[in-house]
Amino acid sequence: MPFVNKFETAPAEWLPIQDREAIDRVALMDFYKNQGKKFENSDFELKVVWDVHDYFAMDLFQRIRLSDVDDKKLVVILPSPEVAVFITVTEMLNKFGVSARNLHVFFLNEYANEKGDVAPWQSPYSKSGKFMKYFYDRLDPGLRMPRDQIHFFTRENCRGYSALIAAEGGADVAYTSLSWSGGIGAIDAETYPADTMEEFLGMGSAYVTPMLETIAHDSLRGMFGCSGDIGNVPPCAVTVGPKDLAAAKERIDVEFLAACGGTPAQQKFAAKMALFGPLDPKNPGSMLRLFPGTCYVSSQVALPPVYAPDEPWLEEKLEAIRANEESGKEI
Amino acid sequence: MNRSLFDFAPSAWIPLQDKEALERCRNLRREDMDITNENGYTARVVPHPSSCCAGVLFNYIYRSDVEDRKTVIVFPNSWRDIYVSVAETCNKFNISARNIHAFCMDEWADEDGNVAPITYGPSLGGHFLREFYLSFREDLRPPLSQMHYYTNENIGSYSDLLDETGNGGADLIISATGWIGHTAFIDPNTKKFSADSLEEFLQLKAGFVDNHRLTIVQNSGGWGGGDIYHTPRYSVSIGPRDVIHARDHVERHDLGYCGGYSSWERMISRLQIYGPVCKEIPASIYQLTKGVIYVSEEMARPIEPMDLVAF
Repeated sequence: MPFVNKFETAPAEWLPIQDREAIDRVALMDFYKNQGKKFENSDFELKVVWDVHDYFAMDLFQRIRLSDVDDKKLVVILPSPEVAVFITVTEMLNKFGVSARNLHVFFLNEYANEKGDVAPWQSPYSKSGKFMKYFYDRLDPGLRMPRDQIHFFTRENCRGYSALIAAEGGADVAYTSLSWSGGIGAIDAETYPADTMEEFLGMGSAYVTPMLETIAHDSLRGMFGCSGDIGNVPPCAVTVGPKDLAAAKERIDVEFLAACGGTPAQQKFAAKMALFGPLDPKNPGSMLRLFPGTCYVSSQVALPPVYAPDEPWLEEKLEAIRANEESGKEI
Repeated sequence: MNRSLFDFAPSAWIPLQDKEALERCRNLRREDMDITNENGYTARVVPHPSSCCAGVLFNYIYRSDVEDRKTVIVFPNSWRDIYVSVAETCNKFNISARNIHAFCMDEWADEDGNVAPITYGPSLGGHFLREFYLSFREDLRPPLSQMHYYTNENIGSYSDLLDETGNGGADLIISATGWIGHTAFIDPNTKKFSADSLEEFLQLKAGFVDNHRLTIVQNSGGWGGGDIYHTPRYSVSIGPRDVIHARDHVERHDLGYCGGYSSWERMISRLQIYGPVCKEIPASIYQLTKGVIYVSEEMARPIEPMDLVAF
């Protein structure tokens, strides 16, 4: 049974999942119909929402407020640049006088170069630098967390970053997002090769060279001028490992990157693979289904995909024209 | 962007590693973009490149009619909006396309070397026939035998057929560029278009192409909205020789996202037009030809960090 078209092509050989049946099935899955807690872990939920940013911002804001009210440590793993959310949350914290003093921040990943150097937060190429500029610096000084509670990746600590998170008691929440490669940030099928999910989930922070698809995805980001400038995206990264995401008490995954009213949307297929594809280390996002958490998918990303159906009438039409031309008749 | 605190080489898979050239093109300003070089290769920044290309194509068809002159054109696909508007304008003014000989620029293929049939929904040749050829009123259409699209049978001789039909090459090639710097599916770092020198590269003819990985990413934007798994890995395409043999060229660089800022085309447009002529950026060979590239004002906007924009 063909997927959409009679003429079929095999997936490119470098793509991690080669199971054609699984790929076809995933492509036609419907986000809306599969909302709810229908996954391997009964506390993992898919929600299609109008605007993912609202949920991300309020979730982080409320957790910081509770850490203030309850005077309790809050450890978060944050993706970056999530500038819009950083600004919204700081607006709320400042407006309502909520202190972030108990907040401990770890980053999902950070750029690095081919020599193993990690982008310092003061560099315009730093992801954590965006957090500093749009979250930390915007917070009223009296509401800020101590600087030593912001854990930057460095060349020296990248392999021990997992241990640093664990030393703080593990993350209370990890916010994640998928890239075009299907990876969670820089945790992709090439950077974290593993034979089993068990092995994969035991892997910690590392210095990696992300897949081409991840670099392409990042080159469209605002921090690089939204211009597809692949040569301006650092070639390597340091990242938390699957182990750190698995150990978090909760995961909030946000999928909202779309254009043209949802088509194209780089995260549409990646999110489907994560949610409905094989539970496999080659499909890193699928690990989210094994643990409590929520995947928020924007309504734009959730729009049905467009695959061009065959046009069987065309050959017949041309045959008729050909026959008429050969016989010299007008059509 | 300031690299004093952190510097890096481009990812190893990027064909052009020349940091100076990348930086120079990245920093080009609007006022430096309207150029004409010694070969008659012109870049014009305009608000709406598509209508400029439509105008050029329309004029070629008109001239072929009034001068009763055989005219060979290489067509990229799908350029639906342009082709339908051109055909409908010809219909309105009774302009005959009888002298047009069309060659589709490229087509999808499978891993076994089979060319996609025109009935394949995404077929580029199918798009062309539906959107250009069939949009003409029947009495104004060219003979179907003058419409050339790829098949398993003709791929080995497509460039020769083009040269033969056009007395040495096409009168006009219409084109756009790709994220990796391709024109048609002339991708860098492929088996099909590997060459030891630019001179050798310029002699390569049409054939079966193992597309660059970034081309799959780019094409997936129109395939289920980013579905890299179902996007064809292979294609067939004209070769650099066909570009060089053509007597005139027209191109557009205006592929933005919904009129928004984000576009994969902004940087590669600059590299193609103002960067080095090299096989690492195949589309740069247009600098060796006569023609015009219409670049949108949107595409000409600065490449600079916009932290407040996600994508």
